[in-house]
Amino acid sequence: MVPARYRVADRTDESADTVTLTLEPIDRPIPTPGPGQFSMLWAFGVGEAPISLSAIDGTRLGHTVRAVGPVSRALASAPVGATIGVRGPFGRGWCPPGDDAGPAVVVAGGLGLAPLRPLIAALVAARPRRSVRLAIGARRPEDLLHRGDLRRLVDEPGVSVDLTVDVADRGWRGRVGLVTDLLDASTVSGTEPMAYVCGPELMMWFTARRLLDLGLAPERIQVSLERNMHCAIGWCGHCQLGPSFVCLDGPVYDWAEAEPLLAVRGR
Amino acid sequence: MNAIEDLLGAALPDLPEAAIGQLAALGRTRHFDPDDRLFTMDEPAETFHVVRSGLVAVEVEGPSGGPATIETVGPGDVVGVSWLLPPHRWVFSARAIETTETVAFDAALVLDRCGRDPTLGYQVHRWFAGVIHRRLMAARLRVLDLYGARP
Ligand SMILES: Cc1cc2nc3c(=O)[nH]c(=O)nc-3n(C[C@H](O)[C@H](O)[C@H](O)COP(=O)(O)OP(=O)(O)OC[C@H]3O[C@@H](n4cnc5c(N)ncnc54)[C@H](O)[C@@H]3O)c2cc1C
Ligand code: FES
Repeated sequence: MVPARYRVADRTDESADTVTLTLEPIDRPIPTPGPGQFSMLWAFGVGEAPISLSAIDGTRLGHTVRAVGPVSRALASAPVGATIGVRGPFGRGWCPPGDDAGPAVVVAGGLGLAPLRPLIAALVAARPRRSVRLAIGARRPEDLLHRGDLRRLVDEPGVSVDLTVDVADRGWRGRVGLVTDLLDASTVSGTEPMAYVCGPELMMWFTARRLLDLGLAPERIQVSLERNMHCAIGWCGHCQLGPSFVCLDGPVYDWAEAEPLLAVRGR
Repeated sequence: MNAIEDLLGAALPDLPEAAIGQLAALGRTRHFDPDDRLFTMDEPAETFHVVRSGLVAVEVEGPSGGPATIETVGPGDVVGVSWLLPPHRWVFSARAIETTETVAFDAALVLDRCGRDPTLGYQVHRWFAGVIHRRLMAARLRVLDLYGARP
């Protein structure tokens, strides 16, 4: 599968090591992705990495990249005008709550807010039929991503935004504590919500546990798993987790599917 | 039931109403403006609070640099645990971040009442065991760096 060429149309610095790139096609665009899907991004001359869609706007794609290794560093430092290769979209994304107009609970930890962003946009667009509750955790206030979005969402009727960080000085007037502390009985009261959780595995594990303890059914909790990937089309087996190929069957799973997969790794 | 009894009833669901009433009688409603202190580290731990509304920061102040917030405490939760055990001094400071209402309890009176009524004492200690357990779990997870950990 040959990558399509995209141009970096815009860059937004999100934090010290994380940037959101807006990509537009130079010639043919990839098919329109859905929330929760990912692309394989090529930094030419360096390599390829799976990166989730953090914005979908016609043929323009948003990708939020944290510089952790060679490929992500090359992507994160790509200037406006640079060419990047894109394969995709891949994987099974977030499954929207359907037409039952039930509430949605979105729980994000750290970089996990990025793959949830297109879903949040879709959920907010579906109001006033549906209330949307966002619970977002980060290490420090300066690690909170997409702050412009969050500021706008705070003023949206039917949307609640709760933020918490692990470490803060007096300049931070918000909450300090775990993202799971933002979830309480009111999170799941009334019509059973659909919960969407994304962040490091440990954070998703404890968040799912908390939601289960509060009485939410495992089928109503969705999480997005990350595994090393190579082909992204089910050939190479790099992303295999138990019987599942994360690139095809995931990255989004409901908790009834995800819990045994995560247990496989622990054995 | 009055508002203080409601608050305690939610925290101590196993306690009979009469005991809730006794405990509630020891509580006084307090109001704090943003940045007001509830208590200060190293001072005698004489009063603990249950937050009714608002948000309280639990802070540590080092010899250099400004205070760091360890956690924030919101409605229904407890501020102050050091009164339970010797040396009965605050390990941390607490400060209102927002306009905050609490129910403040005189620790000596509560300890005295618990000593004389073992059922009440057991329930109060169970309540605080729950608070301490929750905070210990949260502290452990934060040591693991929940958001930066490699999947
Ligand atoms: C479905 C899917 C979606 C993803 N979406 C995104 C996304 O939207 N944005 C994004 O930035 N990344 C995302 N990733 C993760 C990204 O693909 C990896 O971080 C990738 O390994 C980066 O390649 P690299 O060559 O830069 O680093 P590598 O050489 O693979 O890794 C370099 C070092 O960084 C460590 N490392 C790798 N990944 C992480 C991580 N996620 N957190 C902390 N340390 C890490 C490695 O252990 C290694 O020590 C996603 C992964 C998957 C599977
Ligand atoms: S990445 Fe090759 S099979 Fe999934």
